[in-house]
Amino acid sequence: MARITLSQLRHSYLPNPKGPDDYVLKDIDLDWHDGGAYALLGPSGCGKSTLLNIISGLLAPSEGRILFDGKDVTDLPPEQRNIAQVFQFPVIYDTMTVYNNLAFPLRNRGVDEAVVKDRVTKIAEMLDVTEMLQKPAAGLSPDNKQKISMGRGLVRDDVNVVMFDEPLTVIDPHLKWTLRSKLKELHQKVRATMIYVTHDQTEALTFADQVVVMEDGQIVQIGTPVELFERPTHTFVGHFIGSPGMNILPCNVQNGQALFEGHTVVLEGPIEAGTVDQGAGLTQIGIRPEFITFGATGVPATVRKVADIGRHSVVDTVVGETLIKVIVEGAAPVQGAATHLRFDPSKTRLYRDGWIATQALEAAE
Amino acid sequence: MKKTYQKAWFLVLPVLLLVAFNALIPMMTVVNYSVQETFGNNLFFWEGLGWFEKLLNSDRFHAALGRQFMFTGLILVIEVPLGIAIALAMPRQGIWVPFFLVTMALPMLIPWNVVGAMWNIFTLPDIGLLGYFMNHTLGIDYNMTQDPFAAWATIITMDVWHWTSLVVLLSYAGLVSIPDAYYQAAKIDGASKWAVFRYIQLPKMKQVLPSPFCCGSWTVLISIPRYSS
Amino acid sequence: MTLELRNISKQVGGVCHIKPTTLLLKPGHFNVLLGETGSGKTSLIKLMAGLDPVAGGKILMDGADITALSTQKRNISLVHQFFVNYPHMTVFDNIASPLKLAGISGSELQGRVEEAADILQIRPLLARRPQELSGGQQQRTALARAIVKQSKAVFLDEPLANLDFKLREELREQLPVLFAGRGAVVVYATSEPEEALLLGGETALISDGRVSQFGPTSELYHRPHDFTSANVFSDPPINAAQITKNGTTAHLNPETSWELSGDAAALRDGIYQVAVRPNHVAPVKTQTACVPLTGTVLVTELSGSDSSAHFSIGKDVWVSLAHGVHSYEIGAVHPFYLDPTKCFYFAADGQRVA
Repeated sequence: MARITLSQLRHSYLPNPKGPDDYVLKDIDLDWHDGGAYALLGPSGCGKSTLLNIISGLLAPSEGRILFDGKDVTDLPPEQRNIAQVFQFPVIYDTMTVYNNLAFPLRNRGVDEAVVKDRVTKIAEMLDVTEMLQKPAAGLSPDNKQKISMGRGLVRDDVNVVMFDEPLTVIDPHLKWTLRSKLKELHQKVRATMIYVTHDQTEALTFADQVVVMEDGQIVQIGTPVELFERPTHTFVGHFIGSPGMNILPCNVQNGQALFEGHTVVLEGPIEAGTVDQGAGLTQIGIRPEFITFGATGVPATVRKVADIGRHSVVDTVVGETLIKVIVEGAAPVQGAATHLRFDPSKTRLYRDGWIATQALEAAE
Repeated sequence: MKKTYQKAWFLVLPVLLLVAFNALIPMMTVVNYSVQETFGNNLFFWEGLGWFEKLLNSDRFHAALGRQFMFTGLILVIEVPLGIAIALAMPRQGIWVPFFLVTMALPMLIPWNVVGAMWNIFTLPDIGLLGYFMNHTLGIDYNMTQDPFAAWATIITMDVWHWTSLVVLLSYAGLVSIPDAYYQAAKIDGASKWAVFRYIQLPKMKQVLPSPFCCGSWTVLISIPRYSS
Repeated sequence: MTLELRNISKQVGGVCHIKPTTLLLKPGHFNVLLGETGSGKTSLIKLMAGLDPVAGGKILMDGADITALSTQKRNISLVHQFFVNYPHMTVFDNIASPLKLAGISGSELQGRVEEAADILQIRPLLARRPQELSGGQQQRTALARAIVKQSKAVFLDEPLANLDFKLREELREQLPVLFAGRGAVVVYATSEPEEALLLGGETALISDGRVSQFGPTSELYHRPHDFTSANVFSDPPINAAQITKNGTTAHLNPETSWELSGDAAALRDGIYQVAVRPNHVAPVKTQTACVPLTGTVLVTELSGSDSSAHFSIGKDVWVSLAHGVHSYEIGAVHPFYLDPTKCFYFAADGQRVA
């Protein structure tokens, strides 16, 4: 297992990149600790798969270095990096049995057959595939095939990092959660450094201790699942994580106060000094649907639509031209009703040009 | 709801008639001849299974059959590995792909009888391109109509030239259907080039390879008389 | 405009794929087919679209029997899970293709294609070819082709399944708006219960080639007829266990029991199956979720704003799903609280009795 450092990584698929638009990865700096569970989360085309391929060595970066435990591996081919990768579609050696599939990476490295047997048996047990070890791998169901591809990565004890590239894509929704939980469990048992690439927030937040959110070739936030949900440092993170995502409301800043549709909105803390009081840049208020309640006072709003999604209702309200989503458990106001919205001040933040511009109270004190 | 139209069978009738006139009737005539004996003048005598008896007991026939099998075996041993090797060496993407595919398909597009005639002329010792080159440039005594070894070498070369491309194209089809992820996974698993071939490429090609085996034997059976004609 | 199925069924090689199904699908809202992969949603759509022959029964459109009509003559649209567009045509020509087949040309064609492109926000892409588009844009093109045709019935077979999570959320919001006021019967197949709830309208719950229940979506969610329906409409899977009813008390095990009320209290004493959705098993005690269960935490999950925990009580595995971020230690014994007012009770034959 290893610590992984990415230093000033940039990549372009063009031979002579000119502007920043030609780069799919724009200056990535990261430090991942040994034995951690990490996720790279972002929409398709954000560069997360490119980054993964650069770490695994399938792709050479245009600029920057990759270090495993401080050792520069930028120029090493994948087979010399001691990594394991699980792909979107299960990769199975069709002509082999499950046992031979799992043994394959070990045998390729000339590992003693007794050791192979020991490792394969152990991994098979962890994956609950012991009873199918002697079966041909070709006939397995997609979820079992994907388990075997995972197993091939985990069977080696010399891997620096195990990488997962949207591994649950082909898995039936009803089986996804079992595999998701299996992975988490595996990480806790094996304690290998694992990197999980996905566009699905549930998969990322469930799996990882720390999530790297990417957009357009850049890292927008690195944080624990709780941090990403509670205090997104960029509007993109607020929008991307949570379902529905954070409400992002246009606002003006006057005398250190945020004004939304003429109403003063109380924020979590003071607007960061130096960056604001003059109206430079685009300012927005970010508040999650979970942190808005209906009340007799507050910002007046009209209810446009109520969707009962079983566990709770998602209420679409309109203030002026702006749509604000509110999540309520229990009784929801009826469509067309006039109501007032109250924002939880400790969860209401100001963003300038996308980035957070309020100080949390703890920090201000 | 879909209905099955029994009348549709009539649509097959023209083809059936054509095949009957083209193949069935001539073939049955041959079958008829095989049980007759004639001394000319269109006069036929019933011979029963006599010809078959003679044939099956003939040493010359046995020897010919042996040569036939040896020929089949030889060309398969050459064509299948050669075809796979060429398919592996061909680019799988880029602007050269169509060029290679068409080049590979060319020999197969030439009709059998033309192949025979072509090679006949090609190998003529004094005016054929190959014959002249062998005899007069390299100074190797080569005349495939006189020397059995030269004849063997020639028809094997001829068949390899004509049919290897079938193996190439089929194997190539198998190869291009392998997703990139397989190669990447194999790299990461530390698989050698041989292991990649053995466990990824060969299994894919196996799905298409029985057919060149069949085609190969079939080709041999019907091509020898044509080539030698 | 209605689409009516009367006892239609499908058999393949003597095996029954769709059991006799009767449904009356109406326009003006989404008709959702909800079921797991392989439950028969796609098969049912293929029957309605005329892509497969029915083994028995009738399909009526506006009261007219269309069972024997070929797909081409049914005036329907179909959008697949996979992005199906003509690769050699531009987006404009792709969207225009059904109109051209209908003999529309010139400015009317231009106008209708642009209108559809506007609704789906792909107008700037009209000159491009499908392979130059992202998955979401490709699926928008396919959807535009489906709406431009103004067909009588539109079948959407998991159209969002292959899209990014957030994109799915956006398109899911736009879809009902897109088809509103078009008068077409919209049939939408999905395997995700939450998607069915978000789309609203009416839902048919499908499992094993059989429609177990059909009705207004939220009605189905809150009042399932039988265990199958309750289970199909729950993700994560619904918690189920056996209870013994004695007087007005339900006994789950020697440690856990709760008081019954209403219909449940009136049941005859005996053994029943209880089912409760994961969101009614809370990690903290509340006013309603008050029956303590003690479980060993097996797995925990976190999705945006929700946390879930899988825990075992004896041989049974239960799931709790709650708002906010809750941390559990795997392997630890943790108290959970069940909301007895949200429990469903089923008799031995699977029918809901309370």
